[in-house]
Amino acid sequence: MNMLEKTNVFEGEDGSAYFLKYSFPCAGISLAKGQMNEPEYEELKVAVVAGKGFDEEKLVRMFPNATRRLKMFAKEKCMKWDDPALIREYFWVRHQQIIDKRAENYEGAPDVVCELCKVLKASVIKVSGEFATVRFENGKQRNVLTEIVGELKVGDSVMVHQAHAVEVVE
Amino acid sequence: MCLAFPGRVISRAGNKVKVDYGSEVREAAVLETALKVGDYVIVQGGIVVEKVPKVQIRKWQDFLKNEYVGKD
Repeated sequence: MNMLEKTNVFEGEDGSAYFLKYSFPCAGISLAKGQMNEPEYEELKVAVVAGKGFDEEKLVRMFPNATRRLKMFAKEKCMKWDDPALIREYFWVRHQQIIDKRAENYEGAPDVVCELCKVLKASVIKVSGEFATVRFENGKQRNVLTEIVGELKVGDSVMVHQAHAVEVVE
Repeated sequence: MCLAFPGRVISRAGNKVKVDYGSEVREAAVLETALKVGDYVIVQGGIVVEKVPKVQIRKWQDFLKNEYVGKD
């Protein structure tokens, strides 16, 4: 079943918390670009691990490209920017199309950055303490952190962004 | 904080590597058996996430300096 079409999966999900799950993995880039400082990075990490939401104004400053694109997408779809279904479609589909085209801020970006920035589905093949090894559909493997997603088991399907498993999917 | 920059592996002992960033050296865990001294890697949260081909290193600074601001 197409997960994007399921509407009942987000019951009780806080929109900004869901956004943070998907955006936190690239906070290292925001930090390197000076869009946030180290205390703010730590603050974000505490929030994402706890599954908490975050102040919208701060998120806009820390993730200017993602929030801007998401808000444009929201207008187009007549949805709220923090609707989890919109956030999911953005990170699973739109975001990837921009990267594949090497458009906007990805123009001239190194290939490894682009690979890490894509949100892709993978299966868990090994779990060791606070990290796991996943295999993508193209056969490539990556070590990822499980602090956002919580406990994983071998065989779980997860969405991966940068070095983080973001959420378990069917 | 070197989450977004590649560093150079300067030593490896088992599944631990030391990664040099110029200003600091950090330790990271690695699972890839082929990783060796001299390789460039991205480390996040204490684990080696990806190996970076040398030809891509020089593009990094440009990417992080890219001040793209989209228009609504």
